[in-house]
Amino acid sequence: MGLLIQIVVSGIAAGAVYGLVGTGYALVYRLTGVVHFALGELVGLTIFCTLFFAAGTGTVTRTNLSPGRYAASLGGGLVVAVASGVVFYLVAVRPFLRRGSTIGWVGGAVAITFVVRGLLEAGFRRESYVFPDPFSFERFGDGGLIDLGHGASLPVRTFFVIGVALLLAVAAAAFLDRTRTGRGLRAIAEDPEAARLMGVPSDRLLAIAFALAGGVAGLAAVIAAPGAPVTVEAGALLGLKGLVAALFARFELPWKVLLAGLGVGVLEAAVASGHLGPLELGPAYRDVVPLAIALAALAFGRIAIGHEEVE
Amino acid sequence: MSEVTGQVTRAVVAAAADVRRAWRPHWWLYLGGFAALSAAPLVLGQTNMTRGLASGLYIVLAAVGLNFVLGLAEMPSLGHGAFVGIGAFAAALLRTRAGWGPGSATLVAIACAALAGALVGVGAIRLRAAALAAGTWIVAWLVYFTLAAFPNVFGGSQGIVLPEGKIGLEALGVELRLTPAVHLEIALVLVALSLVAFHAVSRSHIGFSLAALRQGRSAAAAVGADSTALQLGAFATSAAIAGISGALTVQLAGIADPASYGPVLSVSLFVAVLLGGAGTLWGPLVGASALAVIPPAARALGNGVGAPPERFEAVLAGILLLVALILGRGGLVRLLVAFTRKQERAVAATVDRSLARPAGQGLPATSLQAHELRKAFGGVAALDGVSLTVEAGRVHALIGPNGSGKTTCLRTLAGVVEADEGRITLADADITNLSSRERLRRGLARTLQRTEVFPEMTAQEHALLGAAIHRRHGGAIRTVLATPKARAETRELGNVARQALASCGLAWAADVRAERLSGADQRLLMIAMACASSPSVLLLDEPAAGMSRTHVALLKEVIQNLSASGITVLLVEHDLRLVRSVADVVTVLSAGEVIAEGTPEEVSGSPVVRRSYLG
Repeated sequence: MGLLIQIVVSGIAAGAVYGLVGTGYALVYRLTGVVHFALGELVGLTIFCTLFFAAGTGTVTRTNLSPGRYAASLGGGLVVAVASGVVFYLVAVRPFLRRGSTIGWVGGAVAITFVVRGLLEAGFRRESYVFPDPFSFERFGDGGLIDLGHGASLPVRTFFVIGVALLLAVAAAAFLDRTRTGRGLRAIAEDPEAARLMGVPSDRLLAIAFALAGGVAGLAAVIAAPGAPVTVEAGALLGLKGLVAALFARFELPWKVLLAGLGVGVLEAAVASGHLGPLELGPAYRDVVPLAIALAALAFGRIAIGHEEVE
Repeated sequence: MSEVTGQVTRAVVAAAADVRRAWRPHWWLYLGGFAALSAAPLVLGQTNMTRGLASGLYIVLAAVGLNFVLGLAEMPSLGHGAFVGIGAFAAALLRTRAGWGPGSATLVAIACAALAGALVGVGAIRLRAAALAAGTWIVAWLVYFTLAAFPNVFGGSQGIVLPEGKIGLEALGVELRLTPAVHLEIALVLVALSLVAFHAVSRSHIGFSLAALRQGRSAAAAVGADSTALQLGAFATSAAIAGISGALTVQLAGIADPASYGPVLSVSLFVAVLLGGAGTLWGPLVGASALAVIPPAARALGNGVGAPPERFEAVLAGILLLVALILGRGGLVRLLVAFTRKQERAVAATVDRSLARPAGQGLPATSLQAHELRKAFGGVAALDGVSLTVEAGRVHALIGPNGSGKTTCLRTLAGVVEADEGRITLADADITNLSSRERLRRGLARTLQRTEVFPEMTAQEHALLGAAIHRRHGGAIRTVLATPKARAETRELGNVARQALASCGLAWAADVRAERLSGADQRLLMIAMACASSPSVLLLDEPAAGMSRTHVALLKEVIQNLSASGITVLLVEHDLRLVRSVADVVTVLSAGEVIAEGTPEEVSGSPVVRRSYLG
């Protein structure tokens, strides 16, 4: 029982982040038909810029940061996330969207991925980094852990991540529901054809979508980052999981993507713990199984995202 | 015996002449480059330079393979590194675990990669480009994770170490060690062969069909281009070539390391092709070479700022790709060509609209009949029991107010829309259950209502595409090998295509690209494309739409010309003046039912028709 709770809760914590990254994909895809292949790298950029603002490229422990400095670096990271989203749109998407060239924007995204990854690797050369935490969770529970019995335990931090992710999701949903800009985005996302008949979505609105995607995904990743050592590849992996979640939800905003993210997270945790019903699995299958399922779903049409009409 | 030898010699000489013609004007340059590279080991010896050159050529090979998918079919695959990886690990496992020799291990590894490519391709061809990119991206990661997740099978971070291979040529009693120099020669030959194959395919009806499918899907389907088979074929072929590259790379390196076959490889191949120029012959080679020049540049940059140079390779590659993309399709190759050669001038063709008779005359004219066709979309009956007899050799017009079911009727006859009920017969044979492609092969051709041509292709290429439906010797292998039968067929169909253009008054436009033709000429080109399939019955959907008075007069002559040569025509048209001047029989549809039929005079006098038109 304890183990089951551990799997589900830690799966939900990871999945909440996937879901928020997936929300970024869905938002962009719904508005532009573009799959934001560079989102993962931009999330990585956000994580490492935040780290840089907090501690430079030097060492940092999880707790040696003042709340003020943390807040400042978080703010800086957020600015980077939003700005990089907009720049990405202007440089790598907009020119090709106008020409109607899919290969163009896929290539553009790949190019940005290369540039960002290269710069990150040039700046951060250690194997992995410890990310600072805004609060010291060691004060709670048993040195930051909650004992669930039978050798199972959960870090207190997990609940913090779930809570913040939930807040972010509610905030994103509220933005889409309540604000004028958000409703505009939603209208285009839900029925691109009708929205286009009313007038082509403005550049400003599309740029906002890319900024929002980067902001939500980046913030979620930064909040979750202190949970484990961070590598330069972390962003790409988060991006991949978020894409899988978005594909499962057929890019449907916002709750379906979040749910799909949670599903991917729990599935991963379950596979890693070694059991999925009667199947004997293990950590080796952790990344493989969700991807294989996503591919099968994509191939067998459960995730049919728009087939071309042929006269 | 001597007769056979003579035939073979003649065929080889003819093929060689064809190859030389195809590779003009720089064939000596290509030959020289090939010779220089193949002599490289003599200069370099068994050094790391030779090894590096050979492994670079294997990357080029994989990139040429990717060009079939990315350039010809324009499917943005971000997962081709996965097929390289599958080829590599299949070969490595067979060599080490099963103890196979290099030859058999390589062949089976290629088969594995091709199979994986076909599997992925089956899913991929159903997806739109954006989803295809996402799906193949996941494939790249999946293969990478799988290779990394099972260290006891795939060697983990240590990799699988391979023994150096030997090819035994038992007949000669020689054993050939697979040294880097030998790999270099193998790689060179394979790259050359893959380039020849790419060139042959891209200039053939297969290449035209793929180009047509990416420029105008509906119009390509209307002339019978089979998107499924072509795209799947392109995908499997390109995966197989990637597999060859992987299987040989791993034997050259002597170690199979999962980390070398990750998503980065997929992305690098993608970058190489786009950078050089997707769809161009030399693009992958140029792109991969450009990527190879990056490390020295990165070293200079790294020394400048005091950072490890390899970090800047990715940055430079990314910036270079972005620049190439902004330059547009064609990449670096187009830049180089533009540099050395003056811009291609617009072909200033003299417009000569004289009409020639289309090919394939002398056959008895064919009739087309529809019995009680019914078709409902949702709850709306578009066709409510339409019976129609288009008599052989006649020009039959189908008119009626908007929404009366004319186009639905035409599309049902063509087999694009499946009727809910009713029967269709062509020359008294029941074709109700045949696909539109099969109907086309039996002589029932159609044009689209919208103007849809392939902007980058010439009029002659359009007509060749239409004629390709009757190819019997046009398989991919025959096309690549340019067998005598395939070449004879190509010549014959070239004539058919020229005649089709001439029959629509477009002989002058043969070498003009469709984007340079006027809208009206593009509509005539659509008819010519349909005519090139030597139809017995031609379905024309509002051919006069958007045409000026002069062009409508020309269209009238074209229709009369086609009819005079024995083609039965069914014409859906709003221009009643045109209908009155060309049609032998007119059928009037209203709300999915036939309300009148007769000669143009009879019909235009009918009170029922007047009521339905004037409300």
